[in-house]
Amino acid sequence: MHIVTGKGGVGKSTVSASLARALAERGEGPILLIEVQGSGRSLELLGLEDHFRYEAQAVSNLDNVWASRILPNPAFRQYFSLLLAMGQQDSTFAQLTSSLRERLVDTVLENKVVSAFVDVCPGLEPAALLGKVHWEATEGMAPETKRPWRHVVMDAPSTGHCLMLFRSTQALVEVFGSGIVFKQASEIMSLMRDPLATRLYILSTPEELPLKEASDLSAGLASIGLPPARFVLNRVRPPTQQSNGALSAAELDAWNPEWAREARLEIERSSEESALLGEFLKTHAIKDFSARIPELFSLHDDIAPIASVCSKELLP
Amino acid sequence: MSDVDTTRKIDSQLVLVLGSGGVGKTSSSAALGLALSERGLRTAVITIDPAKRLAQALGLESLSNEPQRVVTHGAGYLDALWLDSRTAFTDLVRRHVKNETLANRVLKNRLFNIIQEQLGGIEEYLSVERLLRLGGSGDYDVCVLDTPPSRHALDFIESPRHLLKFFDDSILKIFLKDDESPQSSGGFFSKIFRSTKGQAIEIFKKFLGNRFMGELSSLLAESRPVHQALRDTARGAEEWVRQDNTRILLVTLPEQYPIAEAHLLGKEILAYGMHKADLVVLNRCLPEEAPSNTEPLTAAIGEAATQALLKQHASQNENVAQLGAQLHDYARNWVRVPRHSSSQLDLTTLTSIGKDILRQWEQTGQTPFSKN
Repeated sequence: MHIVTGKGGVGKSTVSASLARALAERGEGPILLIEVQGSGRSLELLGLEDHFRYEAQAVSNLDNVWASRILPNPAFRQYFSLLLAMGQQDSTFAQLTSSLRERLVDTVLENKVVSAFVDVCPGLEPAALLGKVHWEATEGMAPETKRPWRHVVMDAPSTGHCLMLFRSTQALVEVFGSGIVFKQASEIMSLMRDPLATRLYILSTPEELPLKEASDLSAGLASIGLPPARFVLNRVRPPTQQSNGALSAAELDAWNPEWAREARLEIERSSEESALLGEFLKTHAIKDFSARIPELFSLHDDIAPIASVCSKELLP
Repeated sequence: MSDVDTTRKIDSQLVLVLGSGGVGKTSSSAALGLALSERGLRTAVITIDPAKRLAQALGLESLSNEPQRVVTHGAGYLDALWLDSRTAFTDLVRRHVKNETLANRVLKNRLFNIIQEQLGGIEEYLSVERLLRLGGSGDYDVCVLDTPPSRHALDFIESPRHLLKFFDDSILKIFLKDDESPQSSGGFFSKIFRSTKGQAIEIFKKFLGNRFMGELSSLLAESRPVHQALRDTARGAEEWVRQDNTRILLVTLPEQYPIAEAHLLGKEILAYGMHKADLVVLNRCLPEEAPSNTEPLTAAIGEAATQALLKQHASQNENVAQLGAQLHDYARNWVRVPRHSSSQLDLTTLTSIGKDILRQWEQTGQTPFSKN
């Protein structure tokens, strides 16, 4: 499991898609890229036109990569069906044939009060979403070849929503205390907590708020017991460097006041950035970010250069 | 503190500042507020969880649930209300559930914590509620709402309804009925559906367990006083945003995805039945013209940084052209705001940014604000 999260707008989708691509290029397939809810763009970045599909679909220009977007409704249906299957040890469900089970799912989920309840019942939707991810990671397999996924990359929601997913699932464990939902939620959490099975990437840009959210997110996820995060810095720009022949401030202004101003802003941004990054590294007691991905100012969605950074710096 | 008085007409003009996270929405809101106060308008700006630095730039040391005066210009002034979302839901419960023991029970309910996390919209709800109170107070000509970043443009306006869904009466009654007659057997689900789909419900109940049902039912019963407040807020906010003089600002950056997002936001606003966005504010713009000679730049910041800057400039111009081509689908006009030094962000700078936005806005022929 690879979980990619961070503040909104720092490039989670780009990095998730790049990570999937990097894994594929290393021949580590089959790989499933899952976009969880949100307005993610990772499926689009992989060139999938039909990027709202729940079922895994093959990415045409990448061998061994499939992608799917988890939507709450089908996820809940699958989750419920899964719970029913788990409940078969229970005498009430033992006699059910699978077609009867399907009908039961329909009956229950289509009931107005039940569906309204499911809609608002705390914790059930997150558990269904993570339940689907968990199911893919443990039992899912590539269509046709039927080989189990070797990697599942999750383009997770941003900070608050991501924490909510894990916290609510954890809370289900605590609130229910027993029963089928409890068992399922516990299994999800133990997979997500296993450092050998799950890798967590927290993405940030070299700016104040995204870095702060990265810190909060790391603390929040650690408090739920998730493995230590790898911090990834995105959109890194080259540091400014003044040469000996540089014009004085006044000369620069005389040359072009607008661009003189931009030059000064760049210098300030650069020094501020290194101060922020230094402080971040110190706070988290790390030598450097797990990866630094350069800013491309790309007008087109070419993720190849980012995939190559991911391959070099993020994958062992 | 009084609750929202929905019978009172709201005289303040509303400004909604929308945009995805990290585009400078809060600075733009503060800047506009400062410029309006300088024109003699009594203005309030409401923000959730602002960056510390921005709060400091306005001379505010801490977040507070009460408006704090930033500047006064004759009759005009700017008040800032910086809300802390961490205490939002707790505050809401404490304000409406007057009985302290009961309030504590709601707050201690384990489900409450999940709801806090999951329902979302709490920040949005809180800002809407406070906004209505300020709008109805008679103290302000203009109220600027710096909307919390969210997946959908109008989450903030729909948040009271969203929360209300959880406390929906039809569902609620079922729970409460069950709560009032605890001796009855079989739990509420089997009772409701005994006549229809009893077997299915038996199974459903098995998943959830009685303990969970018990906690949910008592939470709903105990938090009942909050419901009416939610309903009032929902109605008040929905009416206010649709008023003709409401101004809608979309803040974005001259980059590919932020522009695409602004476009989506603009469409959502239209779909909601509000008018086109009045103004798109393009923040952090580089100069329009590329420098004719890049040598001085290279000497000042180095070859690599210069190349990056020029690349950024080229991509910005393409993005702005893209914006121009689609703008009129969802907005009336747009203005450019240059990049600013974040370390020197102070009252003077913010005020001049605000005046610049207003000046460009008025040059388009609109009269966005007029004093009552």
